[in-house]
Amino acid sequence: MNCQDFETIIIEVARDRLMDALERERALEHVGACASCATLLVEERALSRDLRALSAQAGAEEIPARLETDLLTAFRQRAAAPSVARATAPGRRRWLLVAAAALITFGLSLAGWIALTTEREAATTSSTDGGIAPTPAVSATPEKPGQPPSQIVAVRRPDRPIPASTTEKRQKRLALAGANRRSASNDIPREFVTRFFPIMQGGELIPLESGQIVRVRMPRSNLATLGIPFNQERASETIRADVLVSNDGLARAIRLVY
Amino acid sequence: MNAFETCSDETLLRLMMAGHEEAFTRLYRRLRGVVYRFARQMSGSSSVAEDVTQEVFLILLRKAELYDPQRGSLSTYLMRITRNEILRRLGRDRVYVSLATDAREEDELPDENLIVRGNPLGNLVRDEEIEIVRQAVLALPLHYREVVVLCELEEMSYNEAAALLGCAVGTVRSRLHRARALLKQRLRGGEAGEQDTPRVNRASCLG
Repeated sequence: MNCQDFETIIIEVARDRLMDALERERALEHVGACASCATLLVEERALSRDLRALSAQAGAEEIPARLETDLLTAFRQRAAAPSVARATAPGRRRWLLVAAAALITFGLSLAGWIALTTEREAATTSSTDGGIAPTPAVSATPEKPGQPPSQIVAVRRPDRPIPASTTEKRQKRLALAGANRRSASNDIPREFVTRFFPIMQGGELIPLESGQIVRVRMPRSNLATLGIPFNQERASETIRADVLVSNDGLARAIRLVY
Repeated sequence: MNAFETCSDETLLRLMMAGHEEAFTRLYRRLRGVVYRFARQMSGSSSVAEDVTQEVFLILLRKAELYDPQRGSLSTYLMRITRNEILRRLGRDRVYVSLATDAREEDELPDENLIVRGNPLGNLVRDEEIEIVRQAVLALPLHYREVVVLCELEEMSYNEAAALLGCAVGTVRSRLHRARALLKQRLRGGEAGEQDTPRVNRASCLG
């Protein structure tokens, strides 16, 4: 080993760190034979000693206890924070809730629109079913004598009765929607209809494959025979009604038109 | 024996993230020394070291999930944060040096008062001697100072230091050689270490 080689490993030798045993042996042999390198090694060892002393003193330096106290306080605050965040719904969850609410709103709107469209179509072609109350419809055209009655083209399936509450809600919605639609156009006369009241014995509506609706005008007093309450003071007046006639020619149900 | 005492640093970290206060306490007590000493030796100030230590562990609390075991030990991760904090506080611009700068000019002592002449180590009491060594280390440019602190004072291996600093092992070795030469020069006022001092590509290892 020459002086140049020795200088490349002098620090490892001076620091007494782990190194290749053979290399260390050669380095020490060189030191024994080279005075200048021996001097360098002494200096390096002295420096290593000084640095170790500095390291030992730094290691003995105490870290203020308040650091730990402050950090523990911060830890507790952070540990408490997530539970509050959870209680108030974190950002991601909030977005999910908003998205779900928007989806539900859209779904309800779509369902309502579909129901409105369906009922409107059914009303224009006139319809009924075996339920308590067929969906009310508004005749878009005024009553004209001699005009053939409209054909019933669709009747709700008997295995799918409409709940009364749903029907009532639809009636209100449709009445309101119909009123709004008509108010938008002065050419269309205002007309409101009630649900169908059964005329047949037994008081129950039976499902019909098809039938006809006949617009009639009759005395209000006739409402008593149908079991429909009316104003006695206006008994002499006439009232318009839609009579549902089945294919066998029998009047099955009637609804009032205002 | 407390169950936490046998846990690895990484396990303690996971427990800490799950809200175990004792795990955090253990982790802090294990690693505070290396963080504090590194900051203390690099800055020369106890107050700065305290601030840096606190900040480092607060960062660990806030961003524990950023630690990637694949990239090294937790202590190395914390040391890296510590180094960044120190450089930020000491002024990061000081470590950026033009590649064209002559190493001899660059390595000149920034403060004449830090130069120790004669043979003070033989004349002063031990504490004073250590203080002189401390001042000599502090007088080193940052890129030399940190390898001295890591490899000599914290007794890290070259590989560990290189991983922390983000540079090659050879760079660490050459810097340590140069830093020790400067220290000898400054502590004894001699010419040792000035011969054949290699130029250092400082921009290659700024992490």
